[in-house]
Amino acid sequence: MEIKGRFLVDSGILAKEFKYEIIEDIYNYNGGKCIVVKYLNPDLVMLLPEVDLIVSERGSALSHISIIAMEQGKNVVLVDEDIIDRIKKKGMIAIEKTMENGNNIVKVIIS
Amino acid sequence: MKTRDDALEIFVENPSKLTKKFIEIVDKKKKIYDELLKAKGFLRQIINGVKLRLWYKHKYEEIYEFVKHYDIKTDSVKGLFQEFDKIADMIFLNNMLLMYSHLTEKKKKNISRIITVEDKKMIMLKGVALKKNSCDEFKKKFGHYALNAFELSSPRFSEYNDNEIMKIAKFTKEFECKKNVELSNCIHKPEQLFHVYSALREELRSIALLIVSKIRYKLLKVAKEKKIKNIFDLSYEDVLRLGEGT
Repeated sequence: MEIKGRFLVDSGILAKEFKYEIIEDIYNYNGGKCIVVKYLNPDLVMLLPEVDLIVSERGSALSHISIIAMEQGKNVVLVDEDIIDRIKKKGMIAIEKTMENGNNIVKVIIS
Repeated sequence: MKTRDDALEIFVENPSKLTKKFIEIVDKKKKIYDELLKAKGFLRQIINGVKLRLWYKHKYEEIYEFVKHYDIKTDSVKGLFQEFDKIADMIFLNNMLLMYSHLTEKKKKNISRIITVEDKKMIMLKGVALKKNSCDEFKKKFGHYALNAFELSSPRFSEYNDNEIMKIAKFTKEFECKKNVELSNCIHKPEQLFHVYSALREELRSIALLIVSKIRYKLLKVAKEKKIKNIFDLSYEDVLRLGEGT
């Protein structure tokens, strides 16, 4: 599946592909470097030291998590469509920076 | 493309009836600040633009002084909600200036060296995970924080037992903080205002959570005295009607 999105926080992604997991509650976190969430719940701040990338369906560059992610050198991507109900709980995710109509966007490829 | 990009994040998950009073306060503030940002008319836009630029350059000192000298002087539920209203106003003002600095300082990409309250919380939590700090030390400083923190029915960290604290502390073992400047040491000569407003945001958030925790403890006490099963399911008006104790 390929979805478009944009960086809310771009601290430079080192890996191109990550293992992802959907997180509804921080206690369900299993150590993946990428988490996929419905929104930027401030509780996720606890997981930031472990995570490199958050992919969220909702949020802004000024959400609590975005600000803290910016400070901790993490990345946050906002996707254009709701995806959580359409993807597996765990899998692989790839991020590709690209341009569209002169705007920086990202392609989020989920397998 | 989705346009869910407002400065107000979803700040409470499944709010209880009483917590909805916070949301009402926040919504009201949002409207006020939105009107300022989305003013109609050329002249109004220019005036607001100039005002915003001036605020951006100077307001951080005022917000810092507010934070530094802030003291909760009331103990009543009504008074505490009024204090929350005051803090919410400051948070929105600060958020607006944070947004402004984010846009105007976009090209300066310095990493912040200011240690925020959030950093201090994580450092101490890591200390707990590595057994360098005790749970009690953490609770003493950050006991007013919580998960789903603006929900009044959410237990504060001060109510957690040691096992529960360890459960959240374990996530912070990898936390690294290279910051070495206290906000108080750079406030009068800041390098980048975005970082200052960002640090102030955390200070204000901490104060807001202190108020939330005070309201929670007060209400738990009232609930115990008056044998009310779930006081957070009452409306704000119902709570005020409970009388003297609140």
